[in-house]
Amino acid sequence: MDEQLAKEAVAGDEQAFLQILKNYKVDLYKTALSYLRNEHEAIEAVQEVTYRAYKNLPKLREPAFFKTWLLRIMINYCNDQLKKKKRVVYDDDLLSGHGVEERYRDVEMDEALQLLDERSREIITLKYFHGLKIREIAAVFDCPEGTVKTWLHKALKLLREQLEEKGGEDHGREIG
Amino acid sequence: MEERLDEYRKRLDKEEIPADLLDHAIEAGVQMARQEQKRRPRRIWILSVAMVAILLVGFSSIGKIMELIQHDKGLMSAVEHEYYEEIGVSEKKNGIEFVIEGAIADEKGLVLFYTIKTDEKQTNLSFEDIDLKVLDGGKINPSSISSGGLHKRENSKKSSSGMLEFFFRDNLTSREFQLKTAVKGDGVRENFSLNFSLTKEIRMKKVYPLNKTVVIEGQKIDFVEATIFPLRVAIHLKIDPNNTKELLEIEDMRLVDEHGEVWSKILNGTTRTGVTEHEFIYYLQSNYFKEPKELYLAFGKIQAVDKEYREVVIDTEQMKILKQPPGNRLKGLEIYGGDIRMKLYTEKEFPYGIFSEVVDGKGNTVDITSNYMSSRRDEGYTLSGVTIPDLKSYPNPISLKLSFFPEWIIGDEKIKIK
Repeated sequence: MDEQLAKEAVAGDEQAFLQILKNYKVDLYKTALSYLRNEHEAIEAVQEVTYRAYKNLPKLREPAFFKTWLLRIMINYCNDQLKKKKRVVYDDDLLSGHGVEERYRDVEMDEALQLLDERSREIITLKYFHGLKIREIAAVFDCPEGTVKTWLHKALKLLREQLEEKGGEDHGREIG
Repeated sequence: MEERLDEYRKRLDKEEIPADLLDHAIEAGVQMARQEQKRRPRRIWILSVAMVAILLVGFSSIGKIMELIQHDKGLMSAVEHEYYEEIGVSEKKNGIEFVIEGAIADEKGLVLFYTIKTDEKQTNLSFEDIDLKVLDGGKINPSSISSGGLHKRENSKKSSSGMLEFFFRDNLTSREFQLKTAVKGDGVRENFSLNFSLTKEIRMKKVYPLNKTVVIEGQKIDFVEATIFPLRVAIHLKIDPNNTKELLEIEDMRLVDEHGEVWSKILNGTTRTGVTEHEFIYYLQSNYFKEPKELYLAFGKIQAVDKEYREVVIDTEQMKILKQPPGNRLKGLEIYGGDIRMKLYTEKEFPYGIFSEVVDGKGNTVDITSNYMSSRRDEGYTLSGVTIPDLKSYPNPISLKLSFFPEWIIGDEKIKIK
Protein backbone atom coordinates (compact mmCIF):
# COMPACT_ATOMS: atom_id res chain seq x y z
CA MET A 1 0.00 0.00 0.00
CA ASP A 2 1.32 3.34 -1.03
CA GLU A 3 1.06 5.43 2.12
CA GLN A 4 1.79 8.62 0.25
CA LEU A 5 -1.20 8.01 -2.01
CA ALA A 6 -3.39 7.41 1.02
CA LYS A 7 -2.23 10.64 2.62
CA GLU A 8 -2.99 12.56 -0.54
CA ALA A 9 -6.44 11.03 -0.71
CA VAL A 10 -7.21 11.90 2.90
CA ALA A 11 -5.96 15.43 2.17
CA GLY A 12 -8.66 15.69 -0.50
CA ASP A 13 -6.90 14.62 -3.70
CA GLU A 14 -9.65 12.97 -5.70
CA GLN A 15 -7.35 11.31 -8.24
CA ALA A 16 -5.44 9.67 -5.40
CA PHE A 17 -8.70 8.47 -3.89
CA LEU A 18 -9.86 7.01 -7.21
CA GLN A 19 -6.50 5.28 -7.64
CA ILE A 20 -6.68 3.65 -4.22
CA LEU A 21 -10.22 2.46 -4.78
CA LYS A 22 -9.21 1.00 -8.13
CA ASN A 23 -6.21 -0.70 -6.52
CA TYR A 24 -8.51 -2.37 -4.01
CA LYS A 25 -11.46 -3.02 -6.29
CA VAL A 26 -10.76 -6.75 -6.47
CA ASP A 27 -10.60 -7.07 -2.66
CA LEU A 28 -13.79 -5.08 -2.28
CA TYR A 29 -15.60 -7.00 -5.00
CA LYS A 30 -14.64 -10.40 -3.61
CA THR A 31 -15.71 -9.43 -0.13
CA ALA A 32 -19.06 -8.31 -1.50
CA LEU A 33 -19.35 -11.49 -3.54
CA SER A 34 -18.65 -13.69 -0.52
CA TYR A 35 -21.38 -11.92 1.46
CA LEU A 36 -23.99 -11.16 -1.18
CA ARG A 37 -23.23 -14.03 -3.58
CA ASN A 38 -24.48 -12.13 -6.59
CA GLU A 39 -22.36 -10.35 -9.16
CA HIS A 40 -24.68 -7.42 -9.83
CA GLU A 41 -25.24 -6.73 -6.17
CA ALA A 42 -21.51 -6.95 -5.57
CA ILE A 43 -20.83 -4.32 -8.24
CA GLU A 44 -23.54 -2.13 -6.77
CA ALA A 45 -21.89 -2.61 -3.38
CA VAL A 46 -18.56 -1.36 -4.72
CA GLN A 47 -20.30 1.79 -5.94
CA GLU A 48 -22.02 2.36 -2.62
CA VAL A 49 -18.86 1.71 -0.62
CA THR A 50 -16.94 4.17 -2.80
CA TYR A 51 -19.62 6.72 -2.04
CA ARG A 52 -19.52 6.06 1.70
CA ALA A 53 -15.73 6.06 1.81
CA TYR A 54 -15.56 9.37 -0.03
CA LYS A 55 -18.03 10.96 2.37
CA ASN A 56 -16.35 9.55 5.46
CA LEU A 57 -12.79 10.16 4.35
CA PRO A 58 -12.23 12.93 6.93
CA LYS A 59 -12.97 10.33 9.62
CA LEU A 60 -10.12 8.06 8.56
CA ARG A 61 -7.50 8.71 11.20
CA GLU A 62 -4.74 6.43 10.05
CA PRO A 63 -4.08 6.46 6.26
CA ALA A 64 -1.85 3.40 6.65
CA PHE A 65 -4.95 1.31 7.34
CA PHE A 66 -6.90 2.48 4.31
CA LYS A 67 -7.51 -1.03 3.01
CA THR A 68 -8.79 -2.39 6.31
CA TRP A 69 -10.97 0.68 6.67
CA LEU A 70 -12.47 0.17 3.19
CA LEU A 71 -13.09 -3.51 3.83
CA ARG A 72 -14.90 -2.66 7.07
CA ILE A 73 -17.18 -0.24 5.27
CA MET A 74 -17.88 -2.98 2.74
CA ILE A 75 -18.62 -5.56 5.41
CA ASN A 76 -20.96 -3.18 7.24
CA TYR A 77 -22.75 -2.42 4.01
CA CYS A 78 -23.09 -6.15 3.20
CA ASN A 79 -24.43 -6.91 6.67
CA ASP A 80 -27.06 -4.21 6.19
CA GLN A 81 -27.96 -5.58 2.79
CA LEU A 82 -28.31 -9.12 4.13
CA LYS A 83 -30.70 -7.86 6.79
CA LYS A 84 -32.77 -6.03 4.17
CA LYS A 85 -32.69 -9.00 1.84
CA LYS A 86 -34.44 -11.17 4.38
CA ARG A 87 -37.45 -8.89 4.04
CA VAL A 88 -37.53 -8.84 0.24
CA VAL A 89 -39.67 -11.40 -1.54
CA TYR A 90 -37.91 -12.45 -4.68
CA ASP A 91 -39.37 -12.94 -8.04
CA ASP A 92 -39.07 -16.60 -9.04
CA ASP A 93 -37.25 -15.89 -12.26
CA LEU A 94 -34.71 -13.69 -10.57
CA LEU A 95 -34.08 -16.28 -7.94
CA SER A 96 -33.41 -19.00 -10.45
CA GLY A 97 -31.05 -16.60 -12.23
CA HIS A 98 -29.04 -16.20 -9.07
CA GLY A 99 -28.42 -19.89 -8.65
CA VAL A 100 -26.13 -20.00 -11.65
CA GLU A 101 -23.48 -17.83 -10.06
CA GLU A 102 -22.84 -20.13 -7.16
CA ARG A 103 -20.82 -22.77 -8.90
CA TYR A 104 -17.43 -23.79 -7.58
CA ARG A 105 -18.20 -22.71 -4.07
CA ASP A 106 -17.68 -24.57 -0.88
CA VAL A 107 -21.36 -24.51 -0.07
CA GLU A 108 -20.92 -25.83 3.45
CA MET A 109 -18.42 -23.12 4.23
CA ASP A 110 -20.73 -20.52 2.71
CA GLU A 111 -23.52 -21.62 4.99
CA ALA A 112 -21.34 -21.89 8.06
CA LEU A 113 -20.01 -18.36 7.51
CA GLN A 114 -23.53 -17.06 7.17
CA LEU A 115 -24.51 -18.54 10.50
CA LEU A 116 -21.71 -16.76 12.36
CA ASP A 117 -22.34 -13.55 14.24
CA GLU A 118 -21.33 -10.43 12.33
CA ARG A 119 -18.11 -9.77 14.19
CA SER A 120 -16.82 -13.31 13.91
CA ARG A 121 -17.48 -13.36 10.18
CA GLU A 122 -15.82 -10.00 9.75
CA ILE A 123 -12.70 -11.07 11.62
CA ILE A 124 -12.40 -14.26 9.57
CA THR A 125 -12.95 -12.37 6.32
CA LEU A 126 -10.26 -9.82 7.13
CA LYS A 127 -7.75 -12.31 8.52
CA TYR A 128 -8.12 -15.26 6.16
CA PHE A 129 -9.54 -13.91 2.93
CA HIS A 130 -7.55 -10.70 2.85
CA GLY A 131 -4.51 -11.77 4.85
CA LEU A 132 -4.61 -8.75 7.16
CA LYS A 133 -2.42 -8.74 10.24
CA ILE A 134 -3.83 -8.76 13.77
CA ARG A 135 -2.23 -5.34 14.23
CA GLU A 136 -4.08 -3.90 11.24
CA ILE A 137 -7.40 -5.30 12.38
CA ALA A 138 -6.85 -4.00 15.91
CA ALA A 139 -6.10 -0.54 14.56
CA VAL A 140 -9.39 -0.16 12.75
CA PHE A 141 -11.45 -1.77 15.49
CA ASP A 142 -9.63 0.59 17.84
CA CYS A 143 -8.96 -2.13 20.38
CA PRO A 144 -5.93 -3.98 21.77
CA GLU A 145 -4.38 -6.73 19.66
CA GLY A 146 -5.15 -9.19 22.44
CA THR A 147 -8.85 -8.57 22.01
CA VAL A 148 -8.65 -9.28 18.28
CA LYS A 149 -6.83 -12.54 19.04
CA THR A 150 -9.58 -13.53 21.46
CA TRP A 151 -12.27 -12.71 18.91
CA LEU A 152 -10.44 -14.62 16.21
CA HIS A 153 -10.05 -17.64 18.46
CA LYS A 154 -13.75 -17.53 19.28
CA ALA A 155 -14.72 -17.05 15.63
CA LEU A 156 -12.71 -20.08 14.51
CA LYS A 157 -14.22 -22.17 17.28
CA LEU A 158 -17.75 -21.15 16.25
CA LEU A 159 -17.00 -21.82 12.61
CA ARG A 160 -15.64 -25.26 13.45
CA GLU A 161 -18.77 -26.03 15.43
CA GLN A 162 -21.00 -24.93 12.58
CA LEU A 163 -19.10 -27.13 10.18
CA GLU A 164 -19.10 -30.09 12.54
CA GLU A 165 -22.86 -29.88 12.97
CA LYS A 166 -23.11 -30.59 9.31
CA GLY A 167 -20.33 -33.14 9.63
CA GLY A 168 -20.63 -36.65 8.33
CA GLU A 169 -22.62 -35.50 5.35
CA ASP A 170 -21.15 -35.86 1.94
CA HIS A 171 -19.25 -32.72 1.08
CA GLY A 172 -20.95 -31.94 -2.21
CA ARG A 173 -18.83 -28.89 -2.80
CA GLU A 174 -19.40 -28.40 -6.48
CA ILE A 175 -22.88 -27.79 -7.63
CA GLY A 176 -24.07 -26.87 -11.09
CA MET B 1 -9.56 -25.52 9.56
CA GLU B 2 -7.18 -22.85 8.33
CA GLU B 3 -6.44 -24.97 5.29
CA ARG B 4 -10.09 -25.16 4.47
CA LEU B 5 -10.47 -21.40 4.83
CA ASP B 6 -7.51 -21.00 2.54
CA GLU B 7 -9.10 -23.28 0.01
CA TYR B 8 -12.32 -21.30 0.24
CA ARG B 9 -10.34 -18.12 -0.43
CA LYS B 10 -8.74 -19.72 -3.47
CA ARG B 11 -12.14 -20.57 -4.87
CA LEU B 12 -13.20 -17.00 -4.38
CA ASP B 13 -10.03 -15.92 -6.17
CA LYS B 14 -11.12 -17.87 -9.20
CA GLU B 15 -14.23 -15.76 -9.67
CA GLU B 16 -14.02 -13.62 -12.74
CA ILE B 17 -13.49 -9.97 -12.03
CA PRO B 18 -15.62 -7.55 -14.07
CA ALA B 19 -12.84 -4.95 -13.94
CA ASP B 20 -14.44 -2.37 -16.23
CA LEU B 21 -17.76 -2.50 -14.44
CA LEU B 22 -15.98 -2.06 -11.11
CA ASP B 23 -14.12 0.97 -12.42
CA HIS B 24 -17.46 2.43 -13.51
CA ALA B 25 -18.97 1.69 -10.14
CA ILE B 26 -16.08 3.43 -8.38
CA GLU B 27 -16.31 6.47 -10.63
CA ALA B 28 -20.07 6.62 -10.20
CA GLY B 29 -19.64 6.35 -6.42
CA VAL B 30 -17.22 9.28 -6.34
CA GLN B 31 -19.51 11.29 -8.55
CA MET B 32 -22.48 10.54 -6.34
CA ALA B 33 -20.61 11.76 -3.27
CA ARG B 34 -19.19 14.80 -5.01
CA GLN B 35 -22.51 15.93 -6.44
CA GLU B 36 -24.12 15.49 -3.08
CA GLN B 37 -21.58 17.80 -1.52
CA LYS B 38 -22.49 20.49 -4.01
CA ARG B 39 -26.25 20.16 -4.11
CA ARG B 40 -28.98 17.81 -3.14
CA PRO B 41 -28.72 14.36 -4.63
CA ARG B 42 -31.23 13.61 -7.29
CA ARG B 43 -30.41 12.13 -10.65
CA ILE B 44 -27.30 10.32 -9.65
CA TRP B 45 -29.37 7.82 -7.69
CA ILE B 46 -30.99 6.59 -10.85
CA LEU B 47 -28.57 3.72 -11.28
CA SER B 48 -29.30 2.35 -7.85
CA VAL B 49 -32.99 3.09 -8.20
CA ALA B 50 -32.97 1.13 -11.44
CA MET B 51 -31.23 -1.79 -9.72
CA VAL B 52 -33.72 -1.74 -6.87
CA ALA B 53 -36.54 -1.54 -9.38
CA ILE B 54 -35.22 -4.65 -11.07
CA LEU B 55 -34.93 -6.51 -7.79
CA LEU B 56 -38.32 -5.54 -6.45
CA VAL B 57 -40.54 -5.02 -9.46
CA GLY B 58 -38.69 -7.51 -11.59
CA PHE B 59 -40.84 -7.56 -14.62
CA SER B 60 -42.24 -4.16 -15.27
CA SER B 61 -41.41 -3.12 -18.81
CA ILE B 62 -38.90 -0.41 -17.90
CA GLY B 63 -37.32 -2.62 -15.22
CA LYS B 64 -36.67 -5.25 -17.85
CA ILE B 65 -35.12 -2.72 -20.17
CA MET B 66 -32.93 -1.24 -17.45
CA GLU B 67 -31.68 -4.74 -16.68
CA LEU B 68 -30.76 -5.35 -20.31
CA ILE B 69 -28.84 -2.11 -20.70
CA GLN B 70 -27.17 -1.86 -17.31
CA HIS B 71 -23.74 -2.41 -18.86
CA ASP B 72 -24.13 0.55 -21.19
CA LYS B 73 -24.09 4.02 -19.63
CA GLY B 74 -25.13 5.60 -22.91
CA LEU B 75 -28.30 3.56 -23.28
CA MET B 76 -29.11 4.04 -19.59
CA SER B 77 -28.77 7.76 -20.08
CA ALA B 78 -31.01 7.70 -23.18
CA VAL B 79 -33.73 6.00 -21.12
CA GLU B 80 -33.27 8.47 -18.26
CA HIS B 81 -33.69 11.30 -20.75
CA GLU B 82 -36.92 9.78 -22.04
CA TYR B 83 -35.39 9.08 -25.41
CA TYR B 84 -36.71 5.50 -25.20
CA GLU B 85 -39.96 5.02 -27.02
CA GLU B 86 -42.61 2.45 -26.16
CA ILE B 87 -43.94 0.38 -29.04
CA GLY B 88 -45.92 -2.52 -27.60
CA VAL B 89 -46.62 -4.45 -30.79
CA SER B 90 -47.04 -8.22 -30.54
CA GLU B 91 -47.96 -11.35 -32.41
CA LYS B 92 -48.87 -14.74 -30.96
CA LYS B 93 -48.72 -18.02 -32.83
CA ASN B 94 -48.89 -21.61 -31.58
CA GLY B 95 -47.96 -20.79 -28.01
CA ILE B 96 -45.17 -18.31 -28.78
CA GLU B 97 -45.72 -14.59 -28.40
CA PHE B 98 -43.23 -12.09 -29.79
CA VAL B 99 -43.51 -8.58 -28.36
CA ILE B 100 -41.61 -5.50 -29.50
CA GLU B 101 -41.60 -3.55 -26.26
CA GLY B 102 -39.88 -0.40 -27.39
CA ALA B 103 -36.98 1.20 -29.21
CA ILE B 104 -34.16 3.69 -29.10
CA ALA B 105 -33.16 5.06 -32.49
CA ASP B 106 -30.69 7.54 -33.86
CA GLU B 107 -29.48 8.53 -37.33
CA LYS B 108 -27.40 5.39 -37.76
CA GLY B 109 -28.89 2.81 -35.47
CA LEU B 110 -31.98 1.20 -34.05
CA VAL B 111 -32.18 -0.84 -30.86
CA LEU B 112 -35.35 -2.87 -30.42
CA PHE B 113 -36.28 -4.34 -27.04
CA TYR B 114 -38.32 -7.49 -27.26
CA THR B 115 -39.89 -10.14 -25.08
CA ILE B 116 -40.68 -13.68 -26.14
CA LYS B 117 -43.33 -15.40 -24.05
CA THR B 118 -43.97 -19.10 -24.45
CA ASP B 119 -46.72 -21.33 -23.08
CA GLU B 120 -44.16 -24.05 -22.37
CA LYS B 121 -40.89 -23.43 -20.57
CA GLN B 122 -37.98 -23.08 -22.98
CA THR B 123 -34.30 -23.61 -22.31
CA ASN B 124 -32.90 -22.74 -25.70
CA LEU B 125 -34.56 -20.01 -27.71
CA SER B 126 -32.87 -18.61 -30.77
CA PHE B 127 -33.54 -16.42 -33.79
CA GLU B 128 -33.16 -17.96 -37.22
CA ASP B 129 -33.54 -15.01 -39.56
CA ILE B 130 -33.83 -11.36 -38.79
CA ASP B 131 -34.96 -9.02 -41.50
CA LEU B 132 -35.85 -5.36 -41.15
CA LYS B 133 -37.67 -3.54 -43.95
CA VAL B 134 -38.93 0.00 -44.27
CA LEU B 135 -42.54 0.47 -45.29
CA ASP B 136 -42.53 4.16 -46.18
CA GLY B 137 -40.23 4.04 -49.18
CA GLY B 138 -36.48 4.04 -49.31
CA LYS B 139 -34.08 1.29 -48.40
CA ILE B 140 -32.00 0.44 -45.42
CA ASN B 141 -28.93 -1.71 -45.45
CA PRO B 142 -28.10 -2.79 -41.97
CA SER B 143 -24.31 -2.92 -41.75
CA SER B 144 -24.65 -4.97 -38.64
CA ILE B 145 -27.39 -6.83 -36.83
CA SER B 146 -26.89 -8.30 -33.43
CA SER B 147 -29.28 -10.25 -31.31
CA GLY B 148 -27.21 -10.44 -28.14
CA GLY B 149 -29.24 -11.31 -25.10
CA LEU B 150 -31.10 -14.31 -26.41
CA HIS B 151 -28.88 -17.23 -25.62
CA LYS B 152 -28.92 -20.60 -24.01
CA ARG B 153 -30.14 -20.36 -20.47
CA GLU B 154 -29.31 -22.66 -17.63
CA ASN B 155 -32.87 -22.47 -16.39
CA SER B 156 -35.90 -22.93 -18.52
CA LYS B 157 -38.20 -19.95 -18.69
CA LYS B 158 -41.52 -18.89 -20.08
CA SER B 159 -40.38 -15.37 -20.79
CA SER B 160 -37.12 -13.99 -22.19
CA SER B 161 -36.18 -10.45 -23.03
CA GLY B 162 -33.40 -9.09 -25.14
CA MET B 163 -32.25 -6.49 -27.61
CA LEU B 164 -31.94 -6.49 -31.37
CA GLU B 165 -29.41 -3.94 -32.55
CA PHE B 166 -29.30 -2.65 -36.10
CA PHE B 167 -26.69 -0.25 -37.38
CA PHE B 168 -26.96 1.30 -40.83
CA ARG B 169 -24.60 2.61 -43.47
CA ASP B 170 -27.00 5.33 -44.59
CA ASN B 171 -29.00 7.68 -42.44
CA LEU B 172 -32.17 6.29 -41.01
CA THR B 173 -35.00 8.52 -42.21
CA SER B 174 -37.89 6.03 -42.25
CA ARG B 175 -40.56 5.96 -39.59
CA GLU B 176 -42.47 2.81 -40.60
CA PHE B 177 -40.86 -0.60 -40.34
CA GLN B 178 -41.51 -4.29 -40.64
CA LEU B 179 -39.53 -6.82 -38.64
CA LYS B 180 -39.57 -10.41 -39.86
CA THR B 181 -37.96 -13.15 -37.87
CA ALA B 182 -38.21 -16.80 -36.97
CA VAL B 183 -37.99 -17.92 -33.35
CA LYS B 184 -36.84 -21.43 -32.62
CA GLY B 185 -37.32 -23.26 -29.32
CA ASP B 186 -37.38 -26.87 -28.11
CA GLY B 187 -39.37 -28.56 -30.85
CA VAL B 188 -41.01 -25.38 -32.14
CA ARG B 189 -40.28 -22.83 -34.82
CA GLU B 190 -42.51 -19.88 -35.69
CA ASN B 191 -42.29 -17.03 -38.17
CA PHE B 192 -43.23 -13.56 -37.03
CA SER B 193 -43.90 -10.42 -38.97
CA LEU B 194 -44.55 -7.24 -37.00
CA ASN B 195 -45.14 -3.72 -38.25
CA PHE B 196 -44.19 -0.81 -36.05
CA SER B 197 -43.56 2.89 -36.31
CA LEU B 198 -41.25 5.33 -34.59
CA THR B 199 -42.71 8.66 -33.52
CA LYS B 200 -40.00 10.25 -31.42
CA GLU B 201 -37.93 12.87 -33.15
CA ILE B 202 -34.44 11.58 -33.97
CA ARG B 203 -31.69 13.52 -32.19
CA MET B 204 -28.93 14.70 -34.51
CA LYS B 205 -25.35 13.48 -34.18
CA LYS B 206 -22.59 15.83 -33.00
CA VAL B 207 -19.36 15.71 -34.99
CA TYR B 208 -16.00 16.82 -33.61
CA PRO B 209 -12.95 16.83 -35.91
CA LEU B 210 -9.86 15.58 -34.08
CA ASN B 211 -7.05 15.88 -36.69
CA LYS B 212 -4.40 14.67 -34.31
CA THR B 213 -1.52 12.24 -34.75
CA VAL B 214 -0.44 10.26 -31.73
CA VAL B 215 2.88 8.43 -31.49
CA ILE B 216 3.31 5.64 -28.95
CA GLU B 217 6.61 3.76 -28.89
CA GLY B 218 7.26 4.99 -32.41
CA GLN B 219 3.91 3.79 -33.80
CA LYS B 220 1.63 6.40 -35.35
CA ILE B 221 -2.14 6.68 -35.27
CA ASP B 222 -4.11 9.53 -36.90
CA PHE B 223 -7.33 10.41 -35.14
CA VAL B 224 -9.78 11.78 -37.68
CA GLU B 225 -13.00 12.59 -35.87
CA ALA B 226 -15.37 11.73 -33.06
CA THR B 227 -19.09 11.45 -33.77
CA ILE B 228 -21.45 11.40 -30.83
CA PHE B 229 -24.74 9.64 -31.45
CA PRO B 230 -27.37 8.92 -28.79
CA LEU B 231 -26.68 5.15 -29.10
CA ARG B 232 -22.89 5.21 -29.27
CA VAL B 233 -19.82 7.31 -29.96
CA ALA B 234 -17.78 6.54 -33.09
CA ILE B 235 -14.07 7.31 -33.12
CA HIS B 236 -12.61 7.29 -36.62
CA LEU B 237 -8.88 6.62 -36.81
CA LYS B 238 -6.19 5.65 -39.30
CA ILE B 239 -3.16 3.56 -38.52
CA ASP B 240 0.08 4.54 -40.26
CA PRO B 241 0.92 1.80 -42.80
CA ASN B 242 4.63 2.48 -42.16
CA ASN B 243 4.46 1.43 -38.51
CA THR B 244 6.89 -1.35 -37.61
CA LYS B 245 4.27 -3.00 -35.44
CA GLU B 246 0.80 -4.18 -36.30
CA LEU B 247 -1.55 -2.37 -33.93
CA LEU B 248 -4.26 -4.84 -33.04
CA GLU B 249 -6.52 -3.34 -30.42
CA ILE B 250 -6.63 -0.13 -28.39
CA GLU B 251 -7.74 -1.75 -25.17
CA ASP B 252 -8.55 1.12 -22.91
CA MET B 253 -9.99 3.75 -25.24
CA ARG B 254 -12.44 5.89 -23.29
CA LEU B 255 -14.07 9.29 -23.04
CA VAL B 256 -13.32 11.42 -20.00
CA ASP B 257 -15.04 14.66 -19.09
CA GLU B 258 -13.80 17.56 -16.97
CA HIS B 259 -14.96 15.82 -13.76
CA GLY B 260 -13.14 12.60 -14.55
CA GLU B 261 -16.31 10.71 -15.43
CA VAL B 262 -15.51 7.91 -17.86
CA TRP B 263 -17.35 6.28 -20.76
CA SER B 264 -15.66 3.08 -21.92
CA LYS B 265 -15.95 0.87 -24.93
CA ILE B 266 -19.18 -0.92 -25.75
CA LEU B 267 -19.08 -4.05 -23.60
CA ASN B 268 -21.76 -6.06 -25.31
CA GLY B 269 -21.93 -5.52 -29.04
CA THR B 270 -19.84 -4.13 -31.86
CA THR B 271 -16.66 -2.61 -30.44
CA ARG B 272 -14.91 -1.72 -33.68
CA THR B 273 -15.37 -1.99 -37.42
CA GLY B 274 -12.80 -1.81 -40.17
CA VAL B 275 -13.22 0.79 -42.91
CA THR B 276 -10.13 -0.22 -44.88
CA GLU B 277 -7.07 -2.27 -43.93
CA HIS B 278 -5.61 0.64 -41.96
CA GLU B 279 -8.74 2.55 -41.02
CA PHE B 280 -11.05 1.74 -38.15
CA ILE B 281 -14.02 2.99 -36.22
CA TYR B 282 -14.06 2.27 -32.50
CA TYR B 283 -17.34 2.46 -30.60
CA LEU B 284 -17.70 3.82 -27.10
CA GLN B 285 -20.66 4.15 -24.76
CA SER B 286 -22.43 7.40 -25.49
CA ASN B 287 -22.42 10.55 -23.41
CA TYR B 288 -24.76 12.29 -25.84
CA PHE B 289 -27.14 13.50 -23.16
CA LYS B 290 -24.42 14.58 -20.75
CA GLU B 291 -23.18 17.69 -22.59
CA PRO B 292 -19.94 18.05 -20.62
CA LYS B 293 -18.01 21.31 -20.83
CA GLU B 294 -14.82 19.52 -21.74
CA LEU B 295 -14.42 16.11 -23.27
CA TYR B 296 -11.29 14.08 -23.94
CA LEU B 297 -10.44 10.83 -25.65
CA ALA B 298 -7.98 8.91 -23.50
CA PHE B 299 -6.06 5.66 -24.02
CA GLY B 300 -2.63 4.16 -23.50
CA LYS B 301 -2.69 0.41 -23.79
CA ILE B 302 -2.52 -0.97 -27.30
CA GLN B 303 -2.09 -4.60 -28.27
CA ALA B 304 0.68 -4.69 -30.85
CA VAL B 305 3.01 -7.25 -32.42
CA ASP B 306 5.97 -6.78 -34.75
CA LYS B 307 4.64 -6.90 -38.31
CA GLU B 308 6.78 -9.92 -38.98
CA TYR B 309 4.65 -11.81 -36.47
CA ARG B 310 1.20 -10.61 -37.38
CA GLU B 311 0.32 -14.15 -38.45
CA VAL B 312 0.61 -17.44 -36.70
CA VAL B 313 1.69 -20.10 -39.18
CA ILE B 314 0.85 -23.76 -38.66
CA ASP B 315 1.20 -27.05 -40.48
CA THR B 316 -1.93 -29.16 -40.13
CA GLU B 317 -0.26 -32.40 -41.22
CA GLN B 318 2.80 -32.21 -38.99
CA MET B 319 0.55 -30.67 -36.30
CA LYS B 320 3.12 -28.00 -35.63
CA ILE B 321 3.07 -24.28 -34.93
CA LEU B 322 5.74 -23.07 -37.38
CA LYS B 323 5.72 -19.42 -36.43
CA GLN B 324 4.32 -17.29 -33.63
CA PRO B 325 5.28 -14.08 -31.80
CA PRO B 326 8.36 -14.56 -29.56
CA GLY B 327 7.62 -16.02 -26.13
CA ASN B 328 5.94 -19.28 -27.24
CA ARG B 329 2.68 -18.37 -25.57
CA LEU B 330 0.77 -20.51 -28.06
CA LYS B 331 0.87 -24.22 -27.37
CA GLY B 332 -1.13 -27.37 -27.82
CA LEU B 333 -2.28 -27.11 -31.43
CA GLU B 334 -5.28 -29.36 -31.94
CA ILE B 335 -7.34 -30.18 -35.00
CA TYR B 336 -10.81 -31.65 -34.72
CA GLY B 337 -12.50 -32.01 -38.07
CA GLY B 338 -12.56 -28.48 -39.38
CA ASP B 339 -11.59 -26.87 -36.09
CA ILE B 340 -8.12 -25.46 -35.50
CA ARG B 341 -7.51 -24.75 -31.81
CA MET B 342 -4.62 -23.45 -29.77
CA LYS B 343 -3.99 -22.64 -26.16
CA LEU B 344 -2.75 -19.13 -25.43
CA TYR B 345 -0.95 -18.97 -22.09
CA THR B 346 -1.11 -15.62 -20.27
CA GLU B 347 -0.36 -14.47 -16.72
CA LYS B 348 -3.60 -12.52 -16.53
CA GLU B 349 -6.97 -13.14 -18.04
CA PHE B 350 -6.99 -12.44 -21.77
CA PRO B 351 -10.58 -12.80 -22.93
CA TYR B 352 -10.15 -12.56 -26.69
CA GLY B 353 -10.48 -14.98 -29.58
CA ILE B 354 -7.19 -14.02 -31.19
CA PHE B 355 -7.61 -15.07 -34.82
CA SER B 356 -9.39 -13.37 -37.69
CA GLU B 357 -8.52 -14.08 -41.33
CA VAL B 358 -7.00 -17.33 -42.51
CA VAL B 359 -4.84 -17.78 -45.61
CA ASP B 360 -3.67 -21.11 -47.08
CA GLY B 361 -0.27 -22.17 -48.39
CA LYS B 362 -1.01 -20.76 -51.86
CA GLY B 363 -2.01 -17.38 -50.51
CA ASN B 364 -5.74 -17.84 -50.94
CA THR B 365 -8.15 -16.60 -48.30
CA VAL B 366 -9.96 -19.40 -46.50
CA ASP B 367 -13.59 -19.05 -45.37
CA ILE B 368 -14.11 -19.32 -41.63
CA THR B 369 -17.54 -20.29 -40.37
CA SER B 370 -16.87 -19.55 -36.74
CA ASN B 371 -14.29 -17.96 -34.54
CA TYR B 372 -14.43 -18.67 -30.83
CA MET B 373 -12.62 -18.57 -27.54
CA SER B 374 -13.01 -20.17 -24.17
CA SER B 375 -11.31 -19.00 -21.02
CA ARG B 376 -9.59 -21.64 -18.86
CA ARG B 377 -8.23 -19.23 -16.31
CA ASP B 378 -7.66 -21.88 -13.65
CA GLU B 379 -5.26 -23.60 -16.04
CA GLY B 380 -3.70 -20.33 -17.17
CA TYR B 381 -4.78 -20.24 -20.79
CA THR B 382 -7.43 -19.13 -23.24
CA LEU B 383 -8.43 -21.53 -25.97
CA SER B 384 -8.81 -19.82 -29.35
CA GLY B 385 -10.22 -21.55 -32.36
CA VAL B 386 -11.57 -21.19 -35.87
CA THR B 387 -13.81 -23.53 -37.82
CA ILE B 388 -13.01 -24.11 -41.48
CA PRO B 389 -15.26 -26.34 -43.58
CA ASP B 390 -13.22 -28.79 -45.63
CA LEU B 391 -10.03 -27.89 -43.80
CA LYS B 392 -8.11 -30.83 -45.32
CA SER B 393 -8.53 -29.44 -48.83
CA TYR B 394 -6.33 -26.41 -48.16
CA PRO B 395 -2.56 -26.68 -48.80
CA ASN B 396 -0.17 -26.07 -45.92
CA PRO B 397 1.17 -23.99 -44.32
CA ILE B 398 -1.94 -22.26 -42.97
CA SER B 399 -1.56 -18.67 -41.74
CA LEU B 400 -3.92 -17.29 -39.10
CA LYS B 401 -3.92 -13.52 -38.87
CA LEU B 402 -3.91 -12.15 -35.34
CA SER B 403 -6.62 -9.72 -34.34
CA PHE B 404 -5.69 -9.70 -30.65
CA PHE B 405 -2.52 -10.68 -28.81
CA PRO B 406 -1.15 -10.20 -25.27
CA GLU B 407 1.71 -7.84 -26.15
CA TRP B 408 1.32 -4.15 -25.70
CA ILE B 409 2.78 -0.76 -26.42
CA ILE B 410 2.08 1.62 -23.58
CA GLY B 411 1.55 5.35 -23.54
CA ASP B 412 -0.68 7.84 -21.81
CA GLU B 413 -2.61 9.90 -24.34
CA LYS B 414 -5.38 12.41 -23.97
CA ILE B 415 -6.89 14.10 -27.00
CA LYS B 416 -9.22 17.05 -26.58
CA ILE B 417 -12.55 16.44 -28.29
CA LYS B 418 -14.12 19.66 -27.08
